[in-house]
Amino acid sequence: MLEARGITKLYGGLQAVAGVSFSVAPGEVLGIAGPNGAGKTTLFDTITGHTIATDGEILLAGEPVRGTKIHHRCRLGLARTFQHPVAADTLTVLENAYLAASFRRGRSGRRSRPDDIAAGRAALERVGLEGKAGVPAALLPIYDRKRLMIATALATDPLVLLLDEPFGGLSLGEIDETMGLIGRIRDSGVAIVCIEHVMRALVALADRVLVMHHGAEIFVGTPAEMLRDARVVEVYLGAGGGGSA
Amino acid sequence: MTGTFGAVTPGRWAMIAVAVALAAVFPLVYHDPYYMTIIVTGEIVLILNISWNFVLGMAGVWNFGQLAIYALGAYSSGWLMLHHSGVPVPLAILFGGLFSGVVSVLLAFPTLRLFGIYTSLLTFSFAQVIQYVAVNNPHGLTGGSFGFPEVPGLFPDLGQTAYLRAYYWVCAGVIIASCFAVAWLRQSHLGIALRSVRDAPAYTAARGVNPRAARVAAFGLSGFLAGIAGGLYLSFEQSFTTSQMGLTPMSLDVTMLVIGGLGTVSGPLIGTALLTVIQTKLINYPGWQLTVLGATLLVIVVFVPGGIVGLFGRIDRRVRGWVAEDADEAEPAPG
Repeated sequence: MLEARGITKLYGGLQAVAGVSFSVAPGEVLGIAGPNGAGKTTLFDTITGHTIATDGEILLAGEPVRGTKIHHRCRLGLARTFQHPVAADTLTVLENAYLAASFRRGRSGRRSRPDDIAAGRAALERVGLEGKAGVPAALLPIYDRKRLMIATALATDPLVLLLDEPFGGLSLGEIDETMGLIGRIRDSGVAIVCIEHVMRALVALADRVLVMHHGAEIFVGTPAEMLRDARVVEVYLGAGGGGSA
Repeated sequence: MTGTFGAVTPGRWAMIAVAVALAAVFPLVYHDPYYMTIIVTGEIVLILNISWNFVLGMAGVWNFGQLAIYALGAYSSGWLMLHHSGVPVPLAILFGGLFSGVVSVLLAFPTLRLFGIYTSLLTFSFAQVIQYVAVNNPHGLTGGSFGFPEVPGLFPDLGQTAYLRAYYWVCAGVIIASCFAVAWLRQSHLGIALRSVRDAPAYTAARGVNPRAARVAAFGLSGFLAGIAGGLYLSFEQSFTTSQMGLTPMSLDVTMLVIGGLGTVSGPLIGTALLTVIQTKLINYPGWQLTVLGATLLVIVVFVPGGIVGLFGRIDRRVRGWVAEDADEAEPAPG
């Protein structure tokens, strides 16, 4: 559904992303791990168009999109969330969801406000925010903001969902609920790529994991293999930590 | 709530109706020509401020070219009034609006490639260039700093009292129509998209909104209304000088917007009315005019960042909060 080949992003002489390739199929979760500064979010930015990759190819449902605009990729079925929970603060929760739903994939013909509001509401129900439809987004606590960001992504009816640290800053109970939510999104046939530091969640959710370090991929495999991989352990724990793993 | 956002409550409709009725009968009971002239000029400034507030407050683009757009509306409508006297004056004013709208769209394209302070610098430079060109009076098109030549105006045959009254009503009509238009636009698909782009640009683009398309539309609508204001000013004052688009009126107008509350529907109304009254009261003390202006702006920016409308919104929410707390305390504790 989404295929990236040899993605490279240069900032001057710095290789933020160095030739990373991956693909993800409908109903699959690809985890992306790596220490801070490994280039995970920059990789996401090149996929969504927030920055244009210096080199490489990005195929979204078979269509090359490397040089296209952010909103164009969204309308083709690519949605993402951000590391910091962001939303249109002065709009209500429902207005946020409505706006995203009005650009949902495959919406045909003239825009219909009742239809778009219904689609927005349906997305809010999927994350459990329907009770806060009238609340301005600025007044939401962090867990609700994170769920709103996922709801507006779902409202665009994506084929591919990129999640940037969906568990960051959440309590243990909230992490469990979010894991359930992401599992349900996966089961609905969406291809998911998820950057995460919370290993418990990553291991439970991901079918495969790609580990990055200094912009390059150093490991691709199942979560179980990742936990046994000497290089991954070294990158995360430092040299010498690998002996007992 | 199955199709509209931010629906107007019956109480607010009643308030709007009373305000419109009072505004309509006001010139029938008040005749002083000196103050009526100030009031009509204030109305035209208000139309300009409503247009500026749309692009500045709602679209969130720090566009300082608005007074040049306003001046271009005056010059282009004046050109029609002078050289094509067969064209009815209202049509000439409408032409000025359309001309300004088109120029505003053209200004939007380079402006929207920039961010932050560079947006302000480019649009400010645009305003300066237009002002210098107008001062040079190319082909006698602008009248230079002496002002645009006398034009017929909307009501060439009326006596002073009736003239002022007629302009008062015309401008009031434009103000009411634009307030309703802005209130409607605010909750329209375009308005929601604009506010979302203003709040969170990268996020909004990732939800399918084309930020540039939405903002170009905002520039066009805002420029159209500014051009109408320019044409009205020229036809009312029978003159338009290049100082009308200088730094002094620009800073006065932006102060009115900030004091009233940027991005709100009623903010320009309150800010323009308040500062027009203050400036008129201090007209014999020119030094104090600027001092009071600066001090008011400082106090608002530091203590009431949302402007007067924002302040009332905060007080309203706080009172509601107290009422809700009292209701909670009044209930017997469960168990």
